[in-house]
Amino acid sequence: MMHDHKVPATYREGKKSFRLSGKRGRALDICATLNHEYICCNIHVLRAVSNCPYDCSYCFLQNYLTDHQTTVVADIDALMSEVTALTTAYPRRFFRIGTWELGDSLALEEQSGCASALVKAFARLPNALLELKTKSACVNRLLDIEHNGRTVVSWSLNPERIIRQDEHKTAHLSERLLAMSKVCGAGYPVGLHFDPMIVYDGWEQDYQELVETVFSTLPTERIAWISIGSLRFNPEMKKLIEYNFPKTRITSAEMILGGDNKVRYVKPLRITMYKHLYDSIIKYGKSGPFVYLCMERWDVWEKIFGHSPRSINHLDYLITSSLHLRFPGLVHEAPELSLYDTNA
Amino acid sequence: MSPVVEQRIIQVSSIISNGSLYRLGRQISHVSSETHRLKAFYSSVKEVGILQPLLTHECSPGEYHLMDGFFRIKLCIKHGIENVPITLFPAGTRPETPLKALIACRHPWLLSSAPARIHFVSLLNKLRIDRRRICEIFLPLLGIEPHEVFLRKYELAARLPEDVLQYCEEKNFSMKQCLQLSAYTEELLSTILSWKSHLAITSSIFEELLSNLAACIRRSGKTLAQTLDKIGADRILSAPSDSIQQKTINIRHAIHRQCFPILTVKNEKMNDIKKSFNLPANASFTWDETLEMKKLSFFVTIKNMPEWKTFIGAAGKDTVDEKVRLLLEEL
Repeated sequence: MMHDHKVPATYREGKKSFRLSGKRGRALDICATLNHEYICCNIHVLRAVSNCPYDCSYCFLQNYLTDHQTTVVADIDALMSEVTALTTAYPRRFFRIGTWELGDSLALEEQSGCASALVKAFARLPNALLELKTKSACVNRLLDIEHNGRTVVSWSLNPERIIRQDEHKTAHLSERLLAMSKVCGAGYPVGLHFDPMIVYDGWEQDYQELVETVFSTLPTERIAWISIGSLRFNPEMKKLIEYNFPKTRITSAEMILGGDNKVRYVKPLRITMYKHLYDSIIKYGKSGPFVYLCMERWDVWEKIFGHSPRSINHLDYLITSSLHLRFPGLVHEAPELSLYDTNA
Repeated sequence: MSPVVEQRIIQVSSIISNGSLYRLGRQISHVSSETHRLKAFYSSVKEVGILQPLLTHECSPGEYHLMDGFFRIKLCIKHGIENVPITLFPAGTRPETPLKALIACRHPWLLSSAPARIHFVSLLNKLRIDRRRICEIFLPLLGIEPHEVFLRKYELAARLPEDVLQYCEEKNFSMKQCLQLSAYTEELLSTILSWKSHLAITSSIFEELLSNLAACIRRSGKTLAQTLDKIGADRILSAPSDSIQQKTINIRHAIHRQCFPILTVKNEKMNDIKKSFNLPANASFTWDETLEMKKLSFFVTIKNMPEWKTFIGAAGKDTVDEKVRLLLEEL
């Protein structure tokens, strides 16, 4: 990796180098779907990275970015000024803020050090936590810094077969697990995202083993949350995926266009997949980490968990309540539903 | 500036038309569909021959490749006209010069037709024009961004079989559509195109059949022949009593079943439940057959109070409640 100022013409070309940049425009936003039938967790996203050195076949960046240059925002003060403006405006609310919307939070950390700077800055905030989500094993710079338990280091997880076939250039599962152990040892809470689940011959066994492997690596009390989701993409992505990744089979499954205008597996299949994974998880205790579905329909929630949040704000409240109960001192005050869900 | 072209009158038979290096596909799109104009053109050619010289390039001594005027030369042959005026790029002309002239002649067509541009890029490669020169000089003239990435996309699309590119030309496909077709195997593309005489294939049906069949093949790991055999394609296409429309419906349905097995089974189960409802004839209901939305939509048409009462009576039965519950559970 080197700094390079030539403008790349494609997103793939933009992956070959990265540059540090200042903050351009508004960096803080909400990661939420606009369709009320599909429930999001209402996390905020801080656009601290754009594009990614990894090359996942299903990645939406393939047809999303207009500026293909991989960048990491180095102006931490400018990012934090947006964060503190939000957290001070709503002092009684607790905010989860992730940096992974447009790229991997940690893939370039060894070279940039920007995520570590954010970790230190969040350590001082009373009512927010930072989520760094990654498919890397680049955690060494995080291990000896002051984080005050206010950063959750999360991994996007898939069986090794999917990592090899569709998550090109990312860390192998064993490397991710080792990195997980390291951050756990350094006192960070860990987040797990079994997302996107991908169907293939033998997926049942592989996902079950994945859960078993992860839970044998991590103590459940260190897991902040677990999300489950399945493969989904914009309709125009299908051909692009097939064009960019001629060998992938991920687009050939039985998929339909959802109400949120995303192509996804047919609902009966999604329900089967989620149930299977959730059953594997709850073998390790129902009172453990908060498990939620990412960008999923209310009726799918009901089929998996027997209930569904009323809204994305309600889900935000439920996650915060779980953190409050399970990580004493992390959430600054007991969350009140009316502060999160104004319709409550 | 020394003249680079010559004006001559030569025999039609000495001009290479069908095998011309410069033939860009079927060369049809530039022909005006304005009937009156065409009629006037026919009649003029018949009476006075060709007035506007045909553009030609003497690619090697004595080989006059037609560059522009394919429609006119066709008319000359049809009406027995023996000699035509030509504007000739003589042998030894740098290839870039006639190419620029060709763009100038065919500019509106090249700008409006992606398959024409694909053919033109293919021609540039055939003439071994330097890639840097293609990017810097020719791509902008064709309305394409002057970058290697775009050149590669056009080159990829140029690998489509000729019959497929012709189809793209007929249907006026965009570059994006042409490029998407390049993701399919030549075998699959040609097979579906060969169904044109048996089926009513619009461009959207063409894309649907390709997409669904490709998904079936990718998923199963079977060959196209095995997949078509499983679907029973031959039987559907050769059914003697079915109309083209019916065959089209049947083949789409058969491929859809293969591509969406879970949805097919679920919908069949729900249709079985629906059949047992015994609602009055003026009432019906539907659901989203993609099974994504959890909702049933009921429709009732009434013209008088007795019809309403009949509907309420039928809908209010416990057996109907139970069936509605079953259907909602399936969704």
